[in-house]
Amino acid sequence: MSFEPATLLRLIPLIPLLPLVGAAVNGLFGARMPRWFVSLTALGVVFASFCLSLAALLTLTSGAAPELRTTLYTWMASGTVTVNLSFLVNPLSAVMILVVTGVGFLIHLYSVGYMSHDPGYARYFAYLNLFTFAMLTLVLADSLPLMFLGWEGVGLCSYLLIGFWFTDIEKASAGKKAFIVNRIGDFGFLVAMMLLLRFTGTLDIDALHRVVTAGGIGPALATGVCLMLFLGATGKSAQLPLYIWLPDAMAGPTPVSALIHAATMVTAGVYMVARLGFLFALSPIAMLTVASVGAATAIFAATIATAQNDIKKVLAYSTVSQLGFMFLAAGVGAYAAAVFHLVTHAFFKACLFLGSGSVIHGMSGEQDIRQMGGLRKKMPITFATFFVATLAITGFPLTAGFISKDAVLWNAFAASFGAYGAVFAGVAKLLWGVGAIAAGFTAFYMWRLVFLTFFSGELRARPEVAAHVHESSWTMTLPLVLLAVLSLLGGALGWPHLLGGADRLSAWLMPVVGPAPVSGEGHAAMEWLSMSTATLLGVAGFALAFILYARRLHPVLATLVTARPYRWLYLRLAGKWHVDELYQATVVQPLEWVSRVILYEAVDKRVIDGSVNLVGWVGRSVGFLGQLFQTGNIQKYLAIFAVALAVLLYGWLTPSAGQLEAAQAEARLVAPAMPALAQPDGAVRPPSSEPGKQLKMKLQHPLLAKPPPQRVARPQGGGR
Amino acid sequence: MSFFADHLLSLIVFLPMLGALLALAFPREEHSGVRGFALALSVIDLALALWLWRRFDPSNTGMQLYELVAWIPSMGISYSVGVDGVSILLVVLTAFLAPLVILSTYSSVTERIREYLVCLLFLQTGMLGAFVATDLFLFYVFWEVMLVPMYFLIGIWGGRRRIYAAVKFFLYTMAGSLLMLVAILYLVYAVRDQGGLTFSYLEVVRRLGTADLGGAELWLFAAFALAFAIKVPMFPFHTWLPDAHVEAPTGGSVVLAGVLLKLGTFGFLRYALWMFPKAAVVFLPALGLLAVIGIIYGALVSMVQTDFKRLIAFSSVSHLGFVMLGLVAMTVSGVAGGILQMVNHGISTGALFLLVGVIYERRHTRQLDDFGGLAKVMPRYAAIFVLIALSSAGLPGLNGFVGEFMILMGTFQSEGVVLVNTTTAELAWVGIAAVGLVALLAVLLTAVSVSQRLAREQTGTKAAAVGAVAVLALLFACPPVGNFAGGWLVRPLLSAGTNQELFGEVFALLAVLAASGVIFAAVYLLIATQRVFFGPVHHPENEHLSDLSAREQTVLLPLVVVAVLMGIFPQPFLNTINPTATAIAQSFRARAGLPAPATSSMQPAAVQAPTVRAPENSMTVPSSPAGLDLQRRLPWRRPQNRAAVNEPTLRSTASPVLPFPAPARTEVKK
Repeated sequence: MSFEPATLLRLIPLIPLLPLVGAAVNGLFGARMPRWFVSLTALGVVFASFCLSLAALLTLTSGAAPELRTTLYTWMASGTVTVNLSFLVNPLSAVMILVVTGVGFLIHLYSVGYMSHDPGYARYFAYLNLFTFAMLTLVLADSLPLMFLGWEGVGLCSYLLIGFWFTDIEKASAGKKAFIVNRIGDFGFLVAMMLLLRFTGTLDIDALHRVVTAGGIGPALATGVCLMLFLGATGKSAQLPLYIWLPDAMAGPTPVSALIHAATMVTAGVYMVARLGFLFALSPIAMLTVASVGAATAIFAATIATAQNDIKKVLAYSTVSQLGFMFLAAGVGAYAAAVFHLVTHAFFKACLFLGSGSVIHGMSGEQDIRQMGGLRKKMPITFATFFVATLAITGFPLTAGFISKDAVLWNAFAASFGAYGAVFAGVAKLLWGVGAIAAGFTAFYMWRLVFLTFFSGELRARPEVAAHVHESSWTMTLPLVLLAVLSLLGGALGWPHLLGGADRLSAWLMPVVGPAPVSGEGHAAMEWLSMSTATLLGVAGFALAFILYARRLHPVLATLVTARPYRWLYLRLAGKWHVDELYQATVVQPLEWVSRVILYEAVDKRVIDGSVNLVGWVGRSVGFLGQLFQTGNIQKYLAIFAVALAVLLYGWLTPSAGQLEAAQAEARLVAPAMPALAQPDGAVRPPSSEPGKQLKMKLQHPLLAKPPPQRVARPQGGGR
Repeated sequence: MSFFADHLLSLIVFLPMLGALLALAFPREEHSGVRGFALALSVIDLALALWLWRRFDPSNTGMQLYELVAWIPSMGISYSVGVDGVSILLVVLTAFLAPLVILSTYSSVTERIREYLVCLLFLQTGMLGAFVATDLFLFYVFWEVMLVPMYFLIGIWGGRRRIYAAVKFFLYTMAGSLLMLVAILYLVYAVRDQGGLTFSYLEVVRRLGTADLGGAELWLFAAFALAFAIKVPMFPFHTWLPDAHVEAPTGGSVVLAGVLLKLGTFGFLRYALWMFPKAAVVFLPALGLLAVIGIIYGALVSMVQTDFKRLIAFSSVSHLGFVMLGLVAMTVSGVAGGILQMVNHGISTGALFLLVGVIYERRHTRQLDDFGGLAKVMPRYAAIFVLIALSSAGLPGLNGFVGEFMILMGTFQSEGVVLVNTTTAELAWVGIAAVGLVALLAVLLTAVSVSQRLAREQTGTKAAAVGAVAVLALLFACPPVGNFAGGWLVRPLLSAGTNQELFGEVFALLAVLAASGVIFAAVYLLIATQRVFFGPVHHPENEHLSDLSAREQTVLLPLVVVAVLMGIFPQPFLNTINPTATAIAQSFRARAGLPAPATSSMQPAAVQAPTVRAPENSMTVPSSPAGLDLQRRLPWRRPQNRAAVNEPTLRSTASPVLPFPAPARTEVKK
């Protein structure tokens, strides 16, 4: 299936564009078409993209070309801004497009069954295809604005799909929240682009790479740019402090949660950091920030997940936590490990989400694990796949999740932060410790989920729900099985040297992300230590979950949950550390209050518009006063005329300051020898005190040939 | 045919007015005839405008399709029109919106339809004329002519408070334009000694290149700027706009938002900034700041509106803030983005007002709360609305993004306007103080909310909240001590601050602030979308609303298509704009004494990048004279640029001063 590179180059833009065509067809005509047509279009375009991606990968592996780059056309060009729609398939993006189209196709297939009863069938697949387009654009983009197109595009699709059942205002709000929080991150992305464009003159990733190679970006600029980019990543990949949208995003249909909020979109931030790793490498501060935020998020979200009762919420916090692991790896420069965990996470988390969807489908929409129990007998395939995926995520030895998580933790353990190495030496061990404990928490909450759902006695649901529990159709179980197999065996991609492997993924990605900062060789003892510690913590988590939840609910639980003082912790965990409330109180409500009360009511209505109306009022008042003169009474007019004439005459006859000055000058000219005449107050007393003579003299002066205009209020009526 | 070809611009401008006069001949009661007539006329006008665009040569940055006829020779007033890269797209936009507006009146206007159409057509002539006039007096005439039909549109066909809104609109705009008239008169008399009295724009600009107006230039600029700032409208001169929009009928709102406001931004570029660059440069930071305030303020106020049209009106304030920011940044991308964004705003906001009109006709209310769940009842309407709202919010792939992106990128690159020269240390402390203050405020707010709810809810929740805020505050605001402790947000600022030029540059800071507008734009548009379209249908009246009719789809579809096309293929538009934008930015900067704009997309990167790291002790050692030297602390511009302004040789540099080379087509008739 390997093409000539030249042929393939022309086909690469089709990888994202085919799903766009599918979205357009289904979006415009799908509602009037039969369901098989909609499904065929939606699945067909994604499958075609998958085949093209595979061909691209095979072309790369065959060694025909190190990378495939093609430009569609110039999107916009003006002044210093030139944005080309250029796509790049390199080892990194090839892996990603395979994940996106491969896992994406399985989830499309699953959706055929899951959404079969939904009236918005065509709309759903149009959105899903549109998402695939945006995600592929993001991954393949070779310029930052194009990546931003995909970046915002996936955010849009996420918004549309979370709020897919828009008649439920809660779900619509969750979509809105996702979009807005993502936009906060997008602000960072925009600022990063501004900085790069100004100081390097380009936004093409390829050109940026050359600039970096030439030493054109200093650490200060790199720090600013990378922190801003990372702000974008925290929004898209749900890291502290912007992770709050992802748990709410579970309001969308479950396949959407699997595709967008587990396997692909939320990993975009990790991908972006890996893709721009050459920039992050310039700034140890940014790297440390990435790693720290990743580790903190990993443990923070894991603690919350231990006390959630909604099956999808547990998985959502688990996703946030696992993304933290990926950022931890990226932050220590182990991009290959980050991408490896990204790939295996896509397998097992998609499997878990689809499995939960199968459970929810079978339970007639019930999502509360307290209502479940003993489902392993009624849904055997779902249970088996869910179990396998749980093995993977909790790090059961030799599963995919075990291998990739070990790679992450080992790299954190052995990390050194470049020039800051001496200062941050201890930080690396701390990050590793946090990660390992988070892995223990992962085991606990995942096994708790499995036990409560599939074990722990009999089904606790209402009878009418219990009667309908059934295994799902093949379109839903087939993807489950395939993903479970991948979760089990996916570790082969990056089998470490320690276990006799060759870590092929690292070797494959090396041309893009560079070599891993630490290699497995030579540190075998330490690596064994890292691996066994994490595994032991995982086992401890499993054991705790087993004791508390496996057979029946352990009596200790009741104490922990209800009795003082233990319940304090439980209430905090169940309340998600109250971060939503915190943001509500510190950001949302103040902003709303300031906008409404200060800006709109006070500033806009009172101050600004008030002054405008004041001007109008003054105008009208003057008019009103003028109106008083317009009585139609001739005597009054004459009286006003007489008064006005008197005023005018007075003003005309009284010397103004200019006249006085002139007269003074004249006096000095005429009688320089008579200083006594000039009075100290500046007024000039003419030689004669006779008024008529004074007037005559003044009128003769050339300056006073015509009387100067006088400003006198003319008593005319104002306009109405 | 040749006559038409030679007088194409005049034809485009006066065809609507001719139509208005002919429309008066139609019988009063008969509606369909006059509607069809007006529609046909506006379509012909659009076709002519497209032909104009086709004949337009983008590479020529001068006035094209120029026509010149002496009008009042004794005063040097002539009828002269022409288009350049700035006005051509606005002419096409005006002609494009006109048929859609006329088509929308089929259902939105039921009484005095003939007079309504006459007003619309007159208005169109006024707007087109103001865009193409190249004589100051002619421009002023068209500028004032626009007011009258708009006044009637609001005052006769408007809503409940239409008289108030119409009078406010009229007087407010009038106040500004009278100042402009005074400025025009002063200006032409000030330059009359160079060959007699003339109102010709090109000639006046040419003379201004050598004339020395002295201090009057500031006043002239201010007078022009005020007139245009009211029209844009820039914060704080915007309050007429929400009233006018809310009260105006649908068609009036579309024309008002789509075209009329552009005359303000167009005027800024063509007249205020272009004629008085040396005065403009003094005002640039203030104008940029007002633009950014408009962006954020408009968005925040828009967020809390309950009236649909008022919401969109405030969003216009925000969007036009972007346009103004791009224009005053005076970089090639900024100006080009600003011009493109004028067109984009006309498309998206015009479409939004048409969309609001659709549901207003069905329900006779504009309150957001009177709707809800419409996506279920009117799916096609909802789809189009969401698409247009996203275009307005600047989603990549739709038209709004292209303009905003180029404005932001262009503005961030704008060099030379420096407000405060600070040292790294000062800047870092300002940053720390600001973040610390915000954090403190957050703690206080939390404390307030805690005390309010303490009685009702568990104390632990609040304690955790306060604790979290305290930790955040420490993390964010703690000054960097030693090598790494705390202040992670401040540290990069500190080290990046070694590049003084970046942080002293007004427009770089303004661009970052403006970029936050993308967040708020999403907020208010999504809030509006949610309240109108999502959730259950609360009101029984809404349950049986009909979806878009074929006619309504015909009105909206062109806008949707253009919004998408301009998002994906903006280059044809940019190709029209670019040469003129480049000429404007270069010439303005040369005359204003600012550094030349970067034009190529690839620069030697290594030269400009800040590669120097902050010394570790830079926090504590402010440069000693900084505290005393006021001259250094509050310059409007960089010192070296100020020197350039005063350089006498600059006045006589002929070639960059001439903005518009000789008109492409000149014919003088007496």
